Amino acid sequence: MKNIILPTLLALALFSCEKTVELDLEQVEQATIIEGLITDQPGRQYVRISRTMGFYDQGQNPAVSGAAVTVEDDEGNAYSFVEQAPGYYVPGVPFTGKVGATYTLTAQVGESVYTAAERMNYVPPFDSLAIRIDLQEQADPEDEGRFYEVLVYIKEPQATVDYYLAKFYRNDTIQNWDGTWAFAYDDLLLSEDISNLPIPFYYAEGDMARVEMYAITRECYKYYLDLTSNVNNDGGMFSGQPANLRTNIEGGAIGYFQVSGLASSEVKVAD
Amino acid sequence: MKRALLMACLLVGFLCSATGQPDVPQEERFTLSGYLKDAASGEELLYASVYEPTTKSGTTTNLYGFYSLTLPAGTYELTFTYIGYQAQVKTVTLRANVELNVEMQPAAAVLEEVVVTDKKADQSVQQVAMSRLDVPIEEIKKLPSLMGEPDVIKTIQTLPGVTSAGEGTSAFFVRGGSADQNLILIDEAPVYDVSHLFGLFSVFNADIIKSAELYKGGIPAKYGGRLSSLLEITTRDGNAKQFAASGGVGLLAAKLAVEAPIVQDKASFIVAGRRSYADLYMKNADQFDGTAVSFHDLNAKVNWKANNKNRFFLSAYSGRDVWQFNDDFKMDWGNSTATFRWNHLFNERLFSNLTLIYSDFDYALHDRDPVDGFLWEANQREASVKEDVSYFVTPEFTLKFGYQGIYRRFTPGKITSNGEESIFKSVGLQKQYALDHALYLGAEHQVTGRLSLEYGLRYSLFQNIGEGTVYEYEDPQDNVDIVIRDSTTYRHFETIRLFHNPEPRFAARYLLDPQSSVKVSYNRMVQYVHLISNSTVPIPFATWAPSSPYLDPQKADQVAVGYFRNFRDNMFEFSVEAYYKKAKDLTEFADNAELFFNRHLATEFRQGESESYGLEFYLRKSKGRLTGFGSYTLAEATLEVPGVNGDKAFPANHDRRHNLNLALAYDLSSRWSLGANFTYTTGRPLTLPAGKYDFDGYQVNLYSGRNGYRLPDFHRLDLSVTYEPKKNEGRRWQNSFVAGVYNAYNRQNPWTIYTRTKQDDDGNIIGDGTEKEARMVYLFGALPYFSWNFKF
Repeated sequence: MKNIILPTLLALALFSCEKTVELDLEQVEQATIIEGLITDQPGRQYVRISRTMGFYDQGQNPAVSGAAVTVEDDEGNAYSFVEQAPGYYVPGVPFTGKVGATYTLTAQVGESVYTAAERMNYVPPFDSLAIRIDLQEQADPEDEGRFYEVLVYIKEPQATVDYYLAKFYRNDTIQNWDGTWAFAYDDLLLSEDISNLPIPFYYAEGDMARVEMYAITRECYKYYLDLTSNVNNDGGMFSGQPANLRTNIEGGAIGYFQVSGLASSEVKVAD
Repeated sequence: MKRALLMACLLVGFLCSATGQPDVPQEERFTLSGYLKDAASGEELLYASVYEPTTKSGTTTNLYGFYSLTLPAGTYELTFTYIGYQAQVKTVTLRANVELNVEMQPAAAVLEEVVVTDKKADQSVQQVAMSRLDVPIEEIKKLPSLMGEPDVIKTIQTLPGVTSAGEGTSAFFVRGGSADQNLILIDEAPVYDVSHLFGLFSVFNADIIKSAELYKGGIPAKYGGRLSSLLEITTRDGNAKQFAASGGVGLLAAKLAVEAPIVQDKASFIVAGRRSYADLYMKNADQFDGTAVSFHDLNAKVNWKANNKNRFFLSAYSGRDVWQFNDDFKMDWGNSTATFRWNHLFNERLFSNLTLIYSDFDYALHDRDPVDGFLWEANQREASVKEDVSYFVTPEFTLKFGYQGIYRRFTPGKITSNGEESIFKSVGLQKQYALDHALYLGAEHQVTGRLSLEYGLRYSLFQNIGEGTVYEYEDPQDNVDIVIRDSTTYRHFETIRLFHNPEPRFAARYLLDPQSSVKVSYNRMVQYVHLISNSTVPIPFATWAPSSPYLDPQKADQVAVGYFRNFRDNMFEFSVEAYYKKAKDLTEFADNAELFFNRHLATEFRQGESESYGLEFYLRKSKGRLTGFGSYTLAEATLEVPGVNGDKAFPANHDRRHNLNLALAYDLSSRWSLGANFTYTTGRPLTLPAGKYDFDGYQVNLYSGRNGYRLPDFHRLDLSVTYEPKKNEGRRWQNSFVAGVYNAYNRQNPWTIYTRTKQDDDGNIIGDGTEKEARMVYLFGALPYFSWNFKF
């Protein structure tokens, strides 16, 4: 619902000009950031621990190595994570999550202990994906050759209150408008039968299109809304006041430990 | 309850003392009363002066042009004065009550144009009211404006004690208060969103406005409902003498007003319309890709002056913005208001005004896509009845009392599916309702020749009523993990929550000499409706909410002191005022609050305190070839809200330390005049990132505190030239041409700063996409404009 800000800026763009400015920013202490994901699909579990950077710094967050990372479910199973690459931790023994179970992360970095817990929610499987040519786009494509729409068919369970995060890939490259949008949805307005729903990106013939749907908690949904607002803030003029993202990590770190049922589907774009 | 009882006692005591006033041995007294009008158009003159020199008695006409003066039997020479008009002296023998309507002739110097400025020459010194400014409507037409549209709101943004959030916005901030703390009335009906084109222009067509008064403090008991200010816009009645029309064509919009008597001197009407026409061009131009933007306003007013005792007015406004993106997406918003007014004289000393008011603000967004589109609508409506009585007890003592009742309905959001194929279902958020009552009693009391007082009490009572369901939350401040313990359902009109508050008001003026005075004032204001927006400038898609179990009424106390002095036979008007304002239960929202279509909006409310103070200087020259005003304000406004910014105090979004404004018009000859505006203000505060990090590929900003930075200072000069060709004697047709330039020295004024992933001018990411950059946005460069206006 926050995307109504966009037309506002569009309108003002008629009269405005802009340039890059160098900001003289205060230095703040580095914070620890945890990015974790547990799903019910094999090989889709990781925890990344790093540190925040200065606003003008380049590259990835500096990795935090040597952390002791474990994830425990509510049946008493504990999974130790090993550091596969600097700051990037994966289960020592592969496991897949179970829908309905709650997973607790414990990460020890030096003296600090960070914890987070989330329940894995059910995600409905895709009925199918389909391909359709957008005739308007074909007449005047923004990107050469890209005028195929990918249509989603899925059933939204009406009896439960659900939240979703969608990720769209073109040939394994994530599509999110250059890192400016996280596609998080609640089901307040959704009807059961979702058919012919075009994803927000166009594809060219021969592309492989993949859609992933993550069942997320309300807290995680809020996290991704916060993230989208954070990266799109206009300086508090028409959008809300800039703010840090909420977190489910306890112990002083920021970031998010996400536990999701994951559904994935792909289709080769062809006539 | 005890407090209520105390207030009731106070009220009674107050009434007794007031009516006990003329209890001295009396010679016989009679009342002189009537209306002051413009001789050419029959328009009533508001706040004009009536003065009797031997007894040193005087009064001013009210908002409807009515005056009443009670004097001992005798013969008097009364002087009627009004700025821009020839003073009139009338000899009146009072042996009974006398009705005297006076028609004023425009002063010779300004014969070519009827200057309706609603002021008497030394009013600013003489009146008890302080912190109150009138916007000189005719003067602002000679001043430069954005794209040639004279705009009352843009002028208000330059008055002392008023700031804006940036150019191109119609929100204004009075003495540190936020934009929703201003009650904006057009013919007594509230207007909820005053912006066209997201604020580039306001909804008020300057051609229909008779008077615009801004009350920043010392607000009389008659008014209430918002914390910071009252802007009262009165529209013209329409020419009661003869047919007249006026209009104009500018770069952006064209306008036309038609007015005429229905019954000579008894009844008249005025209809005025304004419409932008950029959309006509945009629709046919390829580069806009089917996008078309337009707005329009329509004002209409009919009045019937049956006799001096009964006058009826019917006034309506309707305006709308329509934004069309291809045929697929449309958004629109607008206000509609209607006012019916009955002025009735029970006798020469008892003036009554009964008003019925309706106001509606609504918006809609419609994505017509059959699959993933929907129609989203929201609105708020209110209907209100108001009775205001003025009782002119003696020339030294006037009582004002009345009642207002308002029924409010809030529809915060309703989504309608586009049909069978749609992935969406139709869902509506719960409507909210409220009943609003206020009783007031106030007095205008001239204690001695030098000391005058205005004091009163307003008692407001607000009921949040059903139907509706109120949830009981485990933790009402937890907007993530919402746990509902219980819920209560209320029937239609059943009280959910009742609030009531006394609102004392006081103002005093002490005349040091005929040219100067000192004034003090205090007012308490209570605001029961809350704007649901956490942006600096409210967007038209914001909704309002009533005070309710999770939202307390906002309260503010303000004290102000001032020194007023006029120079050179009232040619110069000078004032300096200092104010201090403290607000409690000020409505703010949690960081990252979700304010659109949120069923549990209550969990996003955070209420706290605000504090603001300032010093305002104002100099105005309203006579001679050079007219205009200058203002300088030194101000500070901070907020402290538990649950926001880590509970630490932070500067208000519109906090600007220094504000300097000049607005000058110079008549070169009877045909040519020049206008200039200059503005210099401290940049507005904003929140900038202190760091960043990547999360799942997103480059996220890390913030350390709210409003810790400021934009660079803002300054701008606008120039204009007006040419009025020589009037053809014997013909009423009159032309004027205005040319000007906004931002004459093409200053790049920062409007805001946002951040993004580093990219080149074509929007291609530079490097690996991990680098960020800050972009400063500038709104208007030098913008020339031209407009043509006519009247006959």
